[in-house]
Amino acid sequence: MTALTSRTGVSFHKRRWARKAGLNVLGLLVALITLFPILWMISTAFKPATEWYSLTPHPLPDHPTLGNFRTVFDGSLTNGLSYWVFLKNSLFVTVTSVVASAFIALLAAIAVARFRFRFRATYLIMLLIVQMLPQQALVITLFLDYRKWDLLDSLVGLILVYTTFSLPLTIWMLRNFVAAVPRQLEEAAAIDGAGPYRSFWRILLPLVAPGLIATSIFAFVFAYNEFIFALTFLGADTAKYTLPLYVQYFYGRTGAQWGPIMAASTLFTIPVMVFFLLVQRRLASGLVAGAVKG
Amino acid sequence: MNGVVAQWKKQDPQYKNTKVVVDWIPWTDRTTDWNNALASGKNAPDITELGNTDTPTEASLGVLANISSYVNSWSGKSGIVSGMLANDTQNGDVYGVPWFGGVRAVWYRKDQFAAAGITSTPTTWSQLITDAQLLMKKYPGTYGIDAITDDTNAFASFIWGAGGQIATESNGTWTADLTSPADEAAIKWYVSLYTKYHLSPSKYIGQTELGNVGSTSGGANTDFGLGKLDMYIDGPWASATMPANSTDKSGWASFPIPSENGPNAAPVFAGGSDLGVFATSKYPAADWSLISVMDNLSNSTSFANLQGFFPPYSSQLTAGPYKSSQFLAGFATAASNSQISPLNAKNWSTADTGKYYIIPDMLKSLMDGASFQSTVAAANSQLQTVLNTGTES
Amino acid sequence: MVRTTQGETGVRGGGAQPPRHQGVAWGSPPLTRSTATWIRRHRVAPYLLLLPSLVLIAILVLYPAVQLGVISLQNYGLPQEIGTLPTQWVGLHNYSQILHDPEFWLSLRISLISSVVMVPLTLVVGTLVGLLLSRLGRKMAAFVSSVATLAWATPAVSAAVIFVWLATPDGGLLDWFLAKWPTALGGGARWAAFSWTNAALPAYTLIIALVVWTGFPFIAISVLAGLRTIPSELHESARVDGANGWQIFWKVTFPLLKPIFLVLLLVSVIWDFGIFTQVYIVIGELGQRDMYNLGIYEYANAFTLPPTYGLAAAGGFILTLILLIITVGYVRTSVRQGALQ
Repeated sequence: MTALTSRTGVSFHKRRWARKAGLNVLGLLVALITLFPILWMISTAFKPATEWYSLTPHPLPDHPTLGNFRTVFDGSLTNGLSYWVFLKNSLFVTVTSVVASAFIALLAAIAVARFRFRFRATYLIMLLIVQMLPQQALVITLFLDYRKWDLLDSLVGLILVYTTFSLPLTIWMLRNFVAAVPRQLEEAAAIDGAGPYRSFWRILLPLVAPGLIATSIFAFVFAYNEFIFALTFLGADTAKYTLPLYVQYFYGRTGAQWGPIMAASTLFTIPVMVFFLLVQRRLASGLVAGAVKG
Repeated sequence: MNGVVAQWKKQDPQYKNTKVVVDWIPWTDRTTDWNNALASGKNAPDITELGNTDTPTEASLGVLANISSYVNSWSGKSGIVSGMLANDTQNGDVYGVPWFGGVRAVWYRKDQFAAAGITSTPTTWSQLITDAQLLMKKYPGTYGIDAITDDTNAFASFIWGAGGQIATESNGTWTADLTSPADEAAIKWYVSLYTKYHLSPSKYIGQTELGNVGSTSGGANTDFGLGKLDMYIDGPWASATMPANSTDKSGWASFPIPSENGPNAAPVFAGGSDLGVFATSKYPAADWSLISVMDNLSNSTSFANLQGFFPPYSSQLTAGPYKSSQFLAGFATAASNSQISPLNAKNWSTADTGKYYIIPDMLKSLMDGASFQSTVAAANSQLQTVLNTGTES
Repeated sequence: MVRTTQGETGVRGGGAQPPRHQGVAWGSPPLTRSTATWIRRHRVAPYLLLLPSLVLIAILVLYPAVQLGVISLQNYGLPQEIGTLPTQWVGLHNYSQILHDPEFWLSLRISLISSVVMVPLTLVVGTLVGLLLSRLGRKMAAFVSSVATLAWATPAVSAAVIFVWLATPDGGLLDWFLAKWPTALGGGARWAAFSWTNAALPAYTLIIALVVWTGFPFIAISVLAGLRTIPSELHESARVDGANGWQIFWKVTFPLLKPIFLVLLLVSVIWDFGIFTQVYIVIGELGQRDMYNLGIYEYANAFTLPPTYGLAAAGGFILTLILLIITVGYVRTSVRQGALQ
């Protein structure tokens, strides 16, 4: 290495600096292109109606206004239903299904990671196969079943499907986390006289917590963004719509009210973005760990 | 509606404690909502408004109750336009009563015509093109006329205006006529509004008059309101969806859709709505009682006027209040030459807007440059099959 | 592998020796002693733990999946659902009807072509950005990956609505930009008021763009994480041997990243082939039959009027079959990699 530096001297450093600057510029370009649609969405949300279609589009609103947000909150374009209604629906469905899914998946992950039993391999293969079944096909027969069980137009019905459909991947990811907890810890605790519940709470749970967080994030995003089931099962009962359905309904019905549509979309999207940013690092490592380990 | 309900309770005191809930749903959702309500048993209404083309289909699906006994003993029956009532009758059984009617015509602005040097409204297709070109020259940047693909109710007038039929029925079997010379001339001419004369923009391809399928506002409707479109084909009810900042409302006027060679206007589709009793309703007598009040002469007329429709009573149509209005005159004239078949065929909605979008897709392919003969022939055989069997094969 | 020793515990009895802690030993309240012993003796614990997930999956996934196959062999429509007409077995009639439907073949073609473009494009863009991230300084890399995370976080519905807005013919940014772009390079006035959503080619171009936009960050971050696991000595020695950047990537980096790429590729294919939400929004719900992809095609059979559930089920079954065939490789690879150990 030293030989290289002293031989080529200044030009090497200059080349390195130029390369670094070039990479930085490239990075900025990538960031700008990636960020642009989001910026446009937010900018349109603050533009008054006169500025949506201007002949020379401006990146920033000339006369920023909160009017679009007001329209979204007082529901004047959506049958008088305010944004809060839809937020409430979405949060209720999402949080409930995440909690249920995490709990049920943890139980299953413990079973699969800690025990050897006859149908273990079958169960795991079933999980793999289930992940491959397309939701847009299953929704047809699920719709007919839900009709029979009177679960249409019901948020509880959505909670059930969201919980169930996030189980396979969640169990798969948690399995690795549970398996990574060394048995010796539990055995040591047992020698110290800890019962199974204590061992679960004090030993297993804290160590699996990062895994639980990663899988909960995944389940949360899945339920929050989910569209097909919400579209099919909530039908015409607008008051029960979740946020993704609300944004699409807004767009599909009001035609060209781009300001309020973008305002609704912004309100819907910002929480997820913040969420992702906060857990960025954990998310990447958790997912990659799951993928690499198999 | 509140006033009508109060009237009803006064008129028929046995119902004075009945609670009436009026539910407004998006028009495009109506058939789905009926199907869901019927299948799940939830959220089913007692009375429902239906498009008059829905009534035959829904009656045959078992959605509507048979109200013949109520209608036959109704005082209002004799005043209703007989053709409208006949539409709601199947094998002698009545499943609905007409509530209001409406026809389409061409919207325009009187002052714009004058400024562009057009002295009289067009009565032939070639005059329509010439006028559109004059308007586009006088007002550059606007579109002359909206040649949308997804409004067969309007497009039918061009087929009928060329002397053709979309499909004809004999002894219960439908024969589709799209490949007849008259029909092909109409299709070719309509498509040329976009491809040859550039009177209509490409964005209208695949759209209804309100924009994308399913939209409740937007598209050509908004464009006309904002002055971006010079001539617009729709019924008088379209003013309800136009934007609040529409321009030059005082200049709005209408003329009937021209036929190919004039001088009479082309036949228009007799649209409108009916009132029916849902099959699962537990109170048919009460339902009918309310319907008879909603649909009496004065209530139906005031409701129709509010929305830009015509009441179903022949006395009102021939009277005169509509003919003297600058805006409504064209519609009133058009209404005197109306046709409904085959749009009230049992399987028409499946063929047109339910599943197959046969004519809209045909127009769309042609505007996109598909070969004329094969596309029309394919659509024709598909239409015939669907009208007869309800499915593609 | 050591087998569970719970049986032994039962034999040894309670008291003196603490139970071998293989998994869970149910020795404390609220379970009674006898129930706990019974569970232990019959080694039922794992099954109890699996029960909730099994019940949910069986009822809400496996049962409808089987029903899909069953209904596809019947003429199940709205009258059958309400009960006004009986259900009849029609054998393979639904399948033959679908296979004779030109719309089916069109939607299949659209699905194939769009996923064949979408998946590699996402992988390539993601890999390139991943490589870029690995070369950037810490602060810059953190900034770019945060921005990429924002795109990744954008829900499908929002992304679709934003891109439709960008591409709207009435004052959308894309048409404005293309109209200003010099004609010689492909732009020009013909782009003004161009509608991107009323024909299959422009619509799917838009869809591909937005799917790549939301999909590349995940690939990039996975690739970055994978790159970080490669010991730098490998790169150093390759560089000392005189290899340039390109060769280093192909001969050193890529082979080590292959397992990750395989997983990413197969997951992307499963997801992108039957893609639904973005297509549904961009083509404007179900009104334009000539723009359906396979997912929308089979959905439309059930949810446009009149609903033909049997036909839709057949379509859904075909879609499932295609996906299962494509991803048989995924299962095989997972099994081979010892995922079931």
